[in-house]
Amino acid sequence: MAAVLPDQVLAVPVRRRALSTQPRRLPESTWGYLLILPAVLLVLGLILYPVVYSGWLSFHNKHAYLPIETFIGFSNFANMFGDGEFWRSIELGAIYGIGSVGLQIVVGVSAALLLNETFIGRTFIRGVALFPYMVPTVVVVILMKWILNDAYGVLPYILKTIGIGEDILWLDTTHVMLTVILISTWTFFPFVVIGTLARLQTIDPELYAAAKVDGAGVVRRFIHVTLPQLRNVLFVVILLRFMFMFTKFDVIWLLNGSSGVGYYTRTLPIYTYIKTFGQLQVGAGAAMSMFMFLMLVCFAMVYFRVFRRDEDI
Amino acid sequence: MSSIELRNLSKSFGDVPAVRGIDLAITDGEFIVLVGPSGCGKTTTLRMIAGLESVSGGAIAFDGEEVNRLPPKGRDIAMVFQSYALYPHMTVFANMAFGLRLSGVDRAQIGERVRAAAELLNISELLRRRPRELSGGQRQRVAMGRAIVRQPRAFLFDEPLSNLDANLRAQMRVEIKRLHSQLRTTVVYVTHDQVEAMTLADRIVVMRDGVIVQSGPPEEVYRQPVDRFVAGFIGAPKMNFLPARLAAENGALSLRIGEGEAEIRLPASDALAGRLGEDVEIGLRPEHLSMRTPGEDTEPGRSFPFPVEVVEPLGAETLVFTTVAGAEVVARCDPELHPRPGDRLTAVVDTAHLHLIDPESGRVLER
Repeated sequence: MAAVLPDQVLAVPVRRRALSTQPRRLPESTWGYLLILPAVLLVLGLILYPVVYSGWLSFHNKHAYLPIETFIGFSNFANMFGDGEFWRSIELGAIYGIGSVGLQIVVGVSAALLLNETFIGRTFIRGVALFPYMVPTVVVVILMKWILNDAYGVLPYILKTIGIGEDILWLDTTHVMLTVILISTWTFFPFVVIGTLARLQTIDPELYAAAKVDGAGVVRRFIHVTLPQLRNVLFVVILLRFMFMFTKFDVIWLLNGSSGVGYYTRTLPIYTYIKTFGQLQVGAGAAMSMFMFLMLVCFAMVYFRVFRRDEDI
Repeated sequence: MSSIELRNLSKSFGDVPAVRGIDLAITDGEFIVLVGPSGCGKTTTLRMIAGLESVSGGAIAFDGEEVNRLPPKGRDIAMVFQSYALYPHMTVFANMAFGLRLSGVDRAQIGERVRAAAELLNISELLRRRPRELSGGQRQRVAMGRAIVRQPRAFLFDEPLSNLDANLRAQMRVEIKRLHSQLRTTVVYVTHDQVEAMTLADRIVVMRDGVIVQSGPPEEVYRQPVDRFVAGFIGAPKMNFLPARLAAENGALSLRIGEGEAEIRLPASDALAGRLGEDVEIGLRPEHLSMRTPGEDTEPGRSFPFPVEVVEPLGAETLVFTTVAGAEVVARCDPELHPRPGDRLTAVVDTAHLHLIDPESGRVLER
């Protein structure tokens, strides 16, 4: 009995080791593919499939609810290009995109420059500055509707008290685009702050010292030291922000919905939504979203070609 | 070109004093090296001279004129930074021309001056490149070129060679020295590297904890350090420090090292008469110990046994290390001696160059 025991004890670990090496016989590359498979399936199912389906839809006359569709070739696109409202939505989208991105850059970079300075409570203020980005859009818009309301809003009241701009009706047809741009700027400028501030903190302080010794004042230091260093980050931020803003749906829709005033902020994504789910012309809506997709791809390509001359710094 | 005077200059960051009232008169065309360990206030002093740091107390004067409130651009100085601080998006030419452009020098003259400086520094073929396309040494030259084209009253260097490898550093040292002898512009040069200080300076200013410990020509600072700090900081390998007790013997002075491990005799001295029986520290440079093999003559009262523990052959000389009275001792030695660890050599002391240091205050004692 005592002589058998050591053999048994020995046998167990040997067998266990043999078992544990078995799965490793799969080549490492196969393991790699297996491990990324879930992610690939998610991407295929949630991104590629809708895009392809949307492309397929854009060539069909498809009922919104019933499984009835007719292939109609490029008719959806022909109709779209002949539709004045479609061109108007692109124009409004461009105004909204350029306006709000421009303001976000100005406000965001200025804020980042301020937050890069040393002052008491800087960490706290930095946190607060990111706050608008964290607030859900729906909350922002509901609050803004209250603040801007011409009957009981606090902003018109304040403006009236100090005696400037008291006649502005923020939510009427003439001002509603400006209002949407301002609200979007407030909500999304922290994105610019984060990117810019991160870059500002990595600029070598000796560059500023060198510029001071070279005789550069505040403005020239900004132009010749800060801006060139921010170039690459601003390149990416502007690209992303413009794409995000051009396709922005929630802020505009939540503020105006399909109301009459909404006609004055009916950008391409809004018009696409109305076409698809309001007028139930799914094929026409799909054609518009395909167009928006291709347009942004072209925009990005041109943008890269024009502004990304060198990879320096 | 200009003389620079610091009068009781001080600087604090909040409650932390960085520079505590230093006085320094730099004559026109002098090459001054501020040297000291990190945090000694040397860079702060330089930045105050540049106008990059405000002055908390005292005054800075250029040619007798106080410049405390003048911004950097009003001081007409040029600075070379540790990171070179070249504008990354500008070509070498634009980098060098930037200061001139801002001060309104006309284009033709800018071109002329940049090309002249580039030639002086051997970087003429780099003028169209961007900083990222240059090696460390080339960037260093461009940074110097940017300073030279300004034809400033003074050059300020802030550890300009510390990002270079050893070979390049030695090469640039020579180059900086040559430039200074050509241009004869006042230079204030900050470094923590005592070799740079020794090789470059007309006058070394050793700083520690915000004050000037000693200032003088390199030779003088090396041969007659005022205290243990300067003695240990200047010179490589470092000066040896040995604990000893001072006694009188037959009309001469005797130094008993450690627990009587060795004894060194010195001629009698009135200045040391009051210190008989007290502990002192012996400071001895490695070159002031000469090695004797067993059997060679050694003079009694001038030598101690030197059992070799570590050998560092450097080619032209060999360093040998041992421990005496708990302190590490290093000596320079003729490589022909071929010392090996375990050899029982004898070290003969050059007593003329032996320093006695007060262990309390760290001051080097008069002999």
